Amino acid sequence: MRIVTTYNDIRLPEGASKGESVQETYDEIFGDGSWENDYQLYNESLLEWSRGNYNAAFMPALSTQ
Amino acid sequence: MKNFLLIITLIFSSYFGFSQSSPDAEYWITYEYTPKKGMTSKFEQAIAEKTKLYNNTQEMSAYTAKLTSGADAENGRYERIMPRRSIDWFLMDNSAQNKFWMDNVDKYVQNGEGPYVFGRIKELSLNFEKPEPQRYMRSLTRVMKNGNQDHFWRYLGRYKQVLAKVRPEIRLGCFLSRFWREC
Repeated sequence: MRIVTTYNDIRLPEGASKGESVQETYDEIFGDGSWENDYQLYNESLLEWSRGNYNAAFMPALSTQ
Repeated sequence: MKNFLLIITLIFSSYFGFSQSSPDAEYWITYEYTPKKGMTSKFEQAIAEKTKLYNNTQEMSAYTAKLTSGADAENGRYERIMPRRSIDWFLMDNSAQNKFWMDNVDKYVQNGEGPYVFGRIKELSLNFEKPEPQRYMRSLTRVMKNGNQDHFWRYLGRYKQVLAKVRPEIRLGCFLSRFWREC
C-alpha cells in the first residue's frame, strides 16, 4: 500500500490547514478517544519493517508537459 | 521483458477474475532507477528525449521524480511514474519506445527496478482525479500483516474523511500494490 501526497509548497505536504486539529476533528466525528484507539490498532496491523517513507521532487524537463 | 509479460498475465488473470467489481480500475505503473556514476546528466538527457518523443500525450504520460530523502536518495534515485492507465494500456504495442529506452537510456542505468503496478483506491483518495502535476511528492509505504485487516481500512477511511474537513486542498492518493516484483 502506498499513501502519496503531492504538493507545491514544500512546507505544506498535506496542503493548507483550516486550523483544526486532525485528532480533535477525528474524535469530534467518531467519538471521544476514537483517534487514539483507531490509530493504535492501525499501527498494530502493519509490519514494522515496512514503514518506508521518502520525499521526491518532480523534474518537469523529464516529464510530460 | 520476461517480467513484464508475467505481470501482464497476472493482471489479466486478476482483471477477468474481478472484472465485475472493477471495470474502471485505474493502474499506475512505476519504475525506479539509479544512474551509473558520472552518467547522471546523460541519463537525464536521454529520459527527457524519450519523454518528448513517446510520452507527449495524456494517454502516454510519464512523470519523473528525484528522491530527496530516504535511504536511496543519496545514491541518486529516480522514480518514473506512468499514471492513470486503463487495462487496455497493457495491450498496446510499446515496442518502439521500449527499443528507444534500451538503446538510449538503459546504458546509463546502474540499477533499475520495476515495473511495479498499483491500483488507485479512489474511495481513499482526495483531489486526485485530475492530472495536475505538482512540484513535490511524499510517499509512505505500508504493508499489512496477514489476517484481519479491518482496523487498517477503518482508520484510513476515517482519516480521509477528517482530512477532507481539515485540509480540504490536500492531494492524497492511496494505491494498492497489485504485483510487487523486483527485476
